[in-house]
Amino acid sequence: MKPRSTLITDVKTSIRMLWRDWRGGQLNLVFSALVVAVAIVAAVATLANRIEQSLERDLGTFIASDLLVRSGQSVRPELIDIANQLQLQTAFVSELRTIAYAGDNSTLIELKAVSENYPLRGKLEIEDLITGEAVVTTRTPNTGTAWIELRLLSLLDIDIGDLLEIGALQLEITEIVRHEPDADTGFSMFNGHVMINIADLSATGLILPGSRVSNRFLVAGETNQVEGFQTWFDTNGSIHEEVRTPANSEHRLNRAVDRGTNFLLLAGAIGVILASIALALASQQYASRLTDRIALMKAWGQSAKSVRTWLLLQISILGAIACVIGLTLGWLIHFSLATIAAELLSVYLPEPTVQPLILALLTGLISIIGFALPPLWNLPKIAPLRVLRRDLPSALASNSIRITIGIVVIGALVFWYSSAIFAVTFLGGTLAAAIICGTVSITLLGIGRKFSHWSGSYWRLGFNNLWRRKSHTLLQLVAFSMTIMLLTIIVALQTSLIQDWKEQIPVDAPNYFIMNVAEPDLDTAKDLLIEYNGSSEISWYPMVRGRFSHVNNKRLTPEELDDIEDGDREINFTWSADLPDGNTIIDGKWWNSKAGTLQAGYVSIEEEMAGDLGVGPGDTIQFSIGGLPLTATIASIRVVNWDNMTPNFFYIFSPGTLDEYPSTWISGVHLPDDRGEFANAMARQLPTAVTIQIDEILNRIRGLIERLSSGLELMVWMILACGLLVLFATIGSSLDQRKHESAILRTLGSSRTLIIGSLSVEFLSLGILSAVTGIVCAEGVIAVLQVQAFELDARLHPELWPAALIVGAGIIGLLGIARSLPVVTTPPLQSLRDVSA
Amino acid sequence: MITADNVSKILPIATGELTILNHVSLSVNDGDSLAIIGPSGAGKSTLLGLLAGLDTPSTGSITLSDYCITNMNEEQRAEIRAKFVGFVFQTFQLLPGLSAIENVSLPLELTGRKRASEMAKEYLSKVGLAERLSHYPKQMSGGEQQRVAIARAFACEPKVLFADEPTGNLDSKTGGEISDLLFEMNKEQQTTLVLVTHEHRLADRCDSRLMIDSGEVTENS
Ligand SMILES: Nc1ncnc2c1ncn2[C@@H]1O[C@H](COP(=O)(O)OP(=O)(O)O)[C@@H](O)[C@H]1O
Ligand SMILES: [Mg+2]
Repeated sequence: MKPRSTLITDVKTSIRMLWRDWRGGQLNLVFSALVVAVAIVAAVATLANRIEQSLERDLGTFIASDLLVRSGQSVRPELIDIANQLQLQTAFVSELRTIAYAGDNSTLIELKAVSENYPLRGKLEIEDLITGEAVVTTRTPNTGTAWIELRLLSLLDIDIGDLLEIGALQLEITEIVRHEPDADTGFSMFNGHVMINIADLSATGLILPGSRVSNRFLVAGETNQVEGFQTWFDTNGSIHEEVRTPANSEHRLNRAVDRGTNFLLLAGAIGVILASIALALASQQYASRLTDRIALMKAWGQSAKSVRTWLLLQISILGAIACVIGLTLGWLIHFSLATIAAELLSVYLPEPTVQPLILALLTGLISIIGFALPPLWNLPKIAPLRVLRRDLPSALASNSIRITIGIVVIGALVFWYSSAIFAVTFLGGTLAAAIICGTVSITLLGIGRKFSHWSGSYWRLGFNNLWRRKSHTLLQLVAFSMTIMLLTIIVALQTSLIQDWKEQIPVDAPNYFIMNVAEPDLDTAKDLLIEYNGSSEISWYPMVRGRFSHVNNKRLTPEELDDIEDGDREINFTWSADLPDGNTIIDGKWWNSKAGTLQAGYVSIEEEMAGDLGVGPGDTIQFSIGGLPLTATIASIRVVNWDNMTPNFFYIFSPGTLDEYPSTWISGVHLPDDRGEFANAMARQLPTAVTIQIDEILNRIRGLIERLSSGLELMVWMILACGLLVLFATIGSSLDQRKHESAILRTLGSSRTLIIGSLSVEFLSLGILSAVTGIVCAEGVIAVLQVQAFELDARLHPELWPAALIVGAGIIGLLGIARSLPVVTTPPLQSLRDVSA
Repeated sequence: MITADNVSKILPIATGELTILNHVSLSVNDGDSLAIIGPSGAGKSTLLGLLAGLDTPSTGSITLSDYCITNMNEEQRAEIRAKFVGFVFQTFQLLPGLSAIENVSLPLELTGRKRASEMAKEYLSKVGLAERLSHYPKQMSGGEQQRVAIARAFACEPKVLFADEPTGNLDSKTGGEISDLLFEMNKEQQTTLVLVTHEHRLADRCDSRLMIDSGEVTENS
């Protein structure tokens, strides 16, 4: 009589049941929570993936490529072979210091010979010879021509079209270079830059054995190609070769990127957590609605096994559809965001890899297993007798088991997305939130209940209701405060991150660096500065160049020097009576200018350098300055904030120590309205001084920060949407019962105002209680995250408290009241029937 | 044939044991009808649940269509229920998200029967709801809902139908109509009917009556 059920008929049955539940709206929340979880991960991970790639590339403009190999010898053919095999774009750059002649004038220059496709990343800008404005070019110097830097015109007293003599070669000056993506931004940029075609290099006759030429082989391409090259290089690189990637090139931006990426991951993790909570609550609600149906099915003689098969099939089908839609949605979200971002900021976002999509799918799967399945798990075991006795236990899995599973899964997810520190902090935060909530809110509730006896009937009824459903109230409180906690965390971190980034480049950060000002020219330079709106307060630092030779009277071997950063070249020394801003002494003592203990012969060393040299206060170092020896005793070790955009030094000597050595002066100034006039004036009046305008670099960094900030903001909005979903699901979880009770109250003749009043009291107190606990827990978690993950200083965020309180309590209150309102507007009999049916 | 032999149901409670049914014996022949009557809390639903194989007695034995269901496990009893048993409840137990026709065809679909929809339509016409196929329980009166439930029970063509106070939630006029329908369908399909009621009017239409109070049989006629 009964045909053997096959998988196909099971699938058909499941689809039919699923469709009917869907039609009835019972799956809305389960489904949207799943979709949102998958969509968030897909969007976050894809966007993060692309932004990361883009940022890395953008950073790449600092080295004009994705990766470069630098060597004192000519580029090995193997490198070129491999790059070609990997279908990477390649370019060649050679640099050397030499002398350029024009008529009777000559000057030291930095000669840069480039191949046609230079640069691979970033843009080369030249001056439009008519308008004088900087324009982007894709050309490079033709053979026989030279592109020069503006100040060389006055230094050599030449003009466009004149000839420049470099080595054995005569080159016609055709363009003025305004910006090279990989221009040295450090203080080593002393000499005028001249760019020529790499084909002309050998004809200069300057490439001789022993000449200090730096050859760079530039590559760029898709991430995996570049990684392929890096991998090959890791095993096949020669000791003469050094690889540079964006990651090891620019310290400041790296940190910004790191924090940005961390934040994106964190945002993704929080989004997933919130969606998971929503999913768990929604599944719970769905499961309790399934109870009657399954009891009925079992009374009709369906076995637990078939019920389980159907449920599993249903949830799999639902999950599959949700994953597909979530992926699509996530893709669309990321896509529109990426498009806006790309257009707004005129950046190119590389194609995402498939990794984020796989991540999103796995997230969907894990969420189903961890959050959707547990509440359904015991349903097939429900006693069929329940059709006659509805007071039998409902066979839903116990709360504590589900909560344990949930916490473990959330911990695993967070761990997977971000890092151990996040996972631990989160689990800690969750437990703290739960415990604090449990004790504090129940206590408050009890107190509220006591006091409510003296106040109006709304209060009494409202608090009594909450008290009666204590365990459910507690669950709601935990869910609400978790949500508010997570939302507060994300907003606070976003704010402090952006603020921190912006602080790194204050509005009045110096946009000019003036270097190589000879002692007799100092007054002229100072006068010029004042003329161009600089203040007379600007600090000038004397600078002496030298190298070190001995530590504690022991000569350093070439190998030892090699191990020390910049050990093999000249570095900049300064002297100062006062500890410059942004420097902190961590060992030893700074010479105290006020106590009159100024003494020559001391030096203060930067921490990492001291580490490299293995020295501390009391040790002596011997330097060689222009061939003359100088011995100084280490007085202190400093930590230097390299991010503060003012001249910083590894070595600072005590006043008087460097008096006998020829020094030049440097300074950084902020000239807000200057469009290059100051640089021109300097070039005219003090041609030997170097004036570097860094507006462009500053703007580029500011642009990056802007971009990161808006990315973060979008993320935060998505997370807020998730939070709303949780609030919705949480409120929904008690709705049936509240409706039922209100309907009974209505039948017994309670007024609408009483019911609305008591519901308002319930939801508002839930909202306020959980907002307070949420904020408290959030501050704790933020403090840990700031210190541990973002390397920021911990601080409280009182500015967020009112917002969190108002928004939290307001949304919970309004949403709760709005959703229970139908009870008072529909006739009680109808509500009773709706609820009990 | 349904028989119960010295069936007792004893539940452990905090203060000791609670005897819900005390040595109840009965038998119903195939195609006959039995009314279980008694005041609220007498143990009627408990007895019905035992007879239908939804629960097991503490002592005594029960046979259903010649199968002794007392020694079976839940899976085996489920198989017996699927083969022989149908239900009608006081609270109708229609699924709120399903239309009338879907409610009726659901148990047919679950057992994998072909033409479930047509059967459902046919039975809904029999109970006089041909025009209300796509209506949801919410949109129907109590009497109409119970008609759907009756259509659902008979559509599976059970050998035995258990009805727990089928008219308990209805006014007396509608209740009368429902009991008419129940007996009509019962006759037509030669179903064995066991119903719980406290309405004597309904009980009187049955072939035999069993009166219980506080778990004890007080009258057997
Ligand atoms: N599982 C149970 N736990 C506790 N008491 C029960 C249980 N099942 C039945 N009872 C009690 O047994 C008595 C008979 O119940 P029932 O069979 O539902 O009566 P009715 O005759 O009204 O259908 C009632 O007092 C009921 O409370
Ligand atoms: Mg009963």
